[in-house]
Amino acid sequence: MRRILAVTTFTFRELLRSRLLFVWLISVIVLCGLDFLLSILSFGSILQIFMDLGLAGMEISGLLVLLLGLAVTYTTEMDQKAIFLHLAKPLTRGEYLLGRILGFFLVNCLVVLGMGLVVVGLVIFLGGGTVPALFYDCVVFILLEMFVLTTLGLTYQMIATSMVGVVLYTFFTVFLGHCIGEVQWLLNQEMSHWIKVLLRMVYYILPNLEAFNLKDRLYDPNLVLGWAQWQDILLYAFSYSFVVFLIGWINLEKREFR
Amino acid sequence: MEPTAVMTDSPCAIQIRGLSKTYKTGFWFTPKVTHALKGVHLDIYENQAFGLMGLNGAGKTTLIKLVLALLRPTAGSVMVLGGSIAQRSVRQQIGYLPELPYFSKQHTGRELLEYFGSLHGFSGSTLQHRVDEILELIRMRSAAGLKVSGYSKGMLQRIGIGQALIGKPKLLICDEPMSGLDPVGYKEMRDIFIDLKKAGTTLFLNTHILDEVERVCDRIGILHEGSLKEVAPISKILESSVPVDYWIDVDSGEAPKLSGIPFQEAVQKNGGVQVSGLVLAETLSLLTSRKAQVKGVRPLSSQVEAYFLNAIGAQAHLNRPRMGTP
Amino acid sequence: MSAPDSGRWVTKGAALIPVLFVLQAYLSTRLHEWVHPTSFEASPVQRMDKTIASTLRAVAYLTGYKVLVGHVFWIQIIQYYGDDDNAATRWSQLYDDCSLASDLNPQFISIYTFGANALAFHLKRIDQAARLLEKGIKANPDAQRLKYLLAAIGYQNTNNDNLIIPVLEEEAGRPDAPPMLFNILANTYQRVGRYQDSIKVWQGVLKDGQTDELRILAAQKLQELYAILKKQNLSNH
Repeated sequence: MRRILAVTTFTFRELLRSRLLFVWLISVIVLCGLDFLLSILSFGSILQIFMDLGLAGMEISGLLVLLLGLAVTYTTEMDQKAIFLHLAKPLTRGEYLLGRILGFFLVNCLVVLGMGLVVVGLVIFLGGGTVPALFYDCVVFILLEMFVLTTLGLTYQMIATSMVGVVLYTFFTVFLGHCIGEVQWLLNQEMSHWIKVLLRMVYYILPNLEAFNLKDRLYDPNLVLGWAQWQDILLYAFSYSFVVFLIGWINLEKREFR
Repeated sequence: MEPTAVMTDSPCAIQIRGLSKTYKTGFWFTPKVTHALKGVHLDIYENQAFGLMGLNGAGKTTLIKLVLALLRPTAGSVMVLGGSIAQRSVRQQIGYLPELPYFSKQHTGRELLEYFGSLHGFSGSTLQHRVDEILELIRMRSAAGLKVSGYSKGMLQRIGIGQALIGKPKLLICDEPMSGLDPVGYKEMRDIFIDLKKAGTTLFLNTHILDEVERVCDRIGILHEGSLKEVAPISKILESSVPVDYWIDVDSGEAPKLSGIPFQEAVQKNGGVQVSGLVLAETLSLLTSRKAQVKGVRPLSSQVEAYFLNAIGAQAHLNRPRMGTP
Repeated sequence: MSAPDSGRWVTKGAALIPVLFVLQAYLSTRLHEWVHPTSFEASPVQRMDKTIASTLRAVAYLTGYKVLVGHVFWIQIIQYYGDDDNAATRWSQLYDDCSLASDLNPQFISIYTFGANALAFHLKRIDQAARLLEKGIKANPDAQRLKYLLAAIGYQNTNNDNLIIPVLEEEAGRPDAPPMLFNILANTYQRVGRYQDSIKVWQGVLKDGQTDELRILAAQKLQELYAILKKQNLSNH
């Protein structure tokens, strides 16, 4: 456990000092600018726009930091072979991967929660309103989504043979994971049996990122979010991440470092 | 020829049996196979320093990576400190310095050593004390608080050896440890190795630098094109009669006295002549017979170099007839 | 600590993969019913460019930012609306625009109120306004405003302006009332002969109108109304 914590701290410090937080700062500036612009261009429901825009901004900044972090660390760890030094130490490859995942996730939490504070500030001070209780649930959902994507991204890092590959795989997983809800809709349409089999495989293999998309339902009066839903979503996030982590670990065990 | 292991009373720190590594490259339809290592047998004994020599691409780094399980062998086995490298207890006792170690540039030297120390199980004041000891040893105390991005190549190499030593290793594996070091750094590193050897650490050095081998190592092995050609104690090599090259310093003004001798032109042009040790005595007597004044004679290569070149079959190539050689 | 052989742990972990995979697949299906209680909706577009509509939907659904894309799309709709230069193009596709925006962002009430007001009272497309409001009420059963507006549109059909005025007054009193609503209210007052009320509304537009065109229109309307009142006074005398 102490070794995992050491890798987590190392990764966290590495990412924080990699100027990735500039991305966060730029996201905050863009969000504030957009909110200001929209308050001029739009009329009515400005608080709703602030809130929706803010939640989207939190997710986008988390994703950007994740993608850039993956690119930066791939160059250091894999291309420049810094990973040799870690793996030659009394540290299992599983511990190394888990430590990296937790380090990335901590940075992501910092970015998402920091953006969340900016959003709350904008809503209260610029919009003069209050933050709906569901906002905090949305933040946790975004963090769960980030955890799944971080696990996937780092697993790709252990499998891929280039930095571009890692970034592209993660990027497309985000897209496909979000349109997975529409795969179910497609399955109900008339089409060939084999295409349906293929779609069903895609549906089960890709992460169902729409399950974490509470931000699009913040004002939905039909939304039910109770203990049963929380249980499902938490169990889903951790079971999916654990499968991905195990696959990443097995790949890392098998990977050769020339 | 299968190299014969020199038997000692010490137990094996690394025991390599029939180790082979094949790399497959290219596409499905045009596969290309490279045999990086071909059935290597090697024993490295505890409390000794072993130097692995070979040309670039001989397979030295591949061998080290196989020992550290960074690569998987195509065939054969490796035992390290009596166990498998996969065991944490074995890794706990190993230090590794890769060739030109690369670190995350966002950390300071001290932070890196603290991190690697914590991977070895140190924590709290024990960790701090150990880091201070290492910083003192590698003479990096004053630069320890600076980010690695500002370090020179030599400083990086020092931090590299620092992280390798932080866990008080019983076995230290170094891949080209002297690369990037200036003469002072080179001497300091050599002194560290000598001290470690005195303290009972087993050293496995993969190097090009023959002087380092001669001064530090107890035994050397020569790897050529993936095969282990020779393994011998350094004392035997130094006593061996492998011919080395010499430079005979003759004033160019003496050249007219050497008319009819093939190296007359070389003496006139270069102020001396390079000869193989095999013909040194004959050349000197020839010069004396012509009353040419010999200002001095010095060896151009060491016994180890000659042994190395001889083992890889390069001696014949390098000893091709040279201008001025009788 | 003596070595946990990492290979042994990997083997144990690998055995867990099928179990966890089935669990996550089951949960994913179960969560689908919660996340997507209604099936994918794509309102048919008639006057709008179908490529633009499909592209917008694709971006929204692929990125997982339906609401964000909906907001951005909506804001650019309202920038075009109200400008006479766009009467032939954008106004004609207002219903399509509102349908698409509300597909992406069904809980954004402004789409329904703005769209219904404009369609019913300005463009006189009562059927489309009613359809849009019905969609809004279905997605937001608690939004009373939408029910009032639907009622007002029903009265509009009967050409009874006196029934519409209270709904328009309530709408105009809200902070998010669209500027065009004031024109509609003032014109309705004028039609039923409540010239003083109409003048008050136009004076407000002249003072707070967002664009020069609106203020010019307000000034012209005020001149027109003062002329009517003057004429009335003269005839009364």
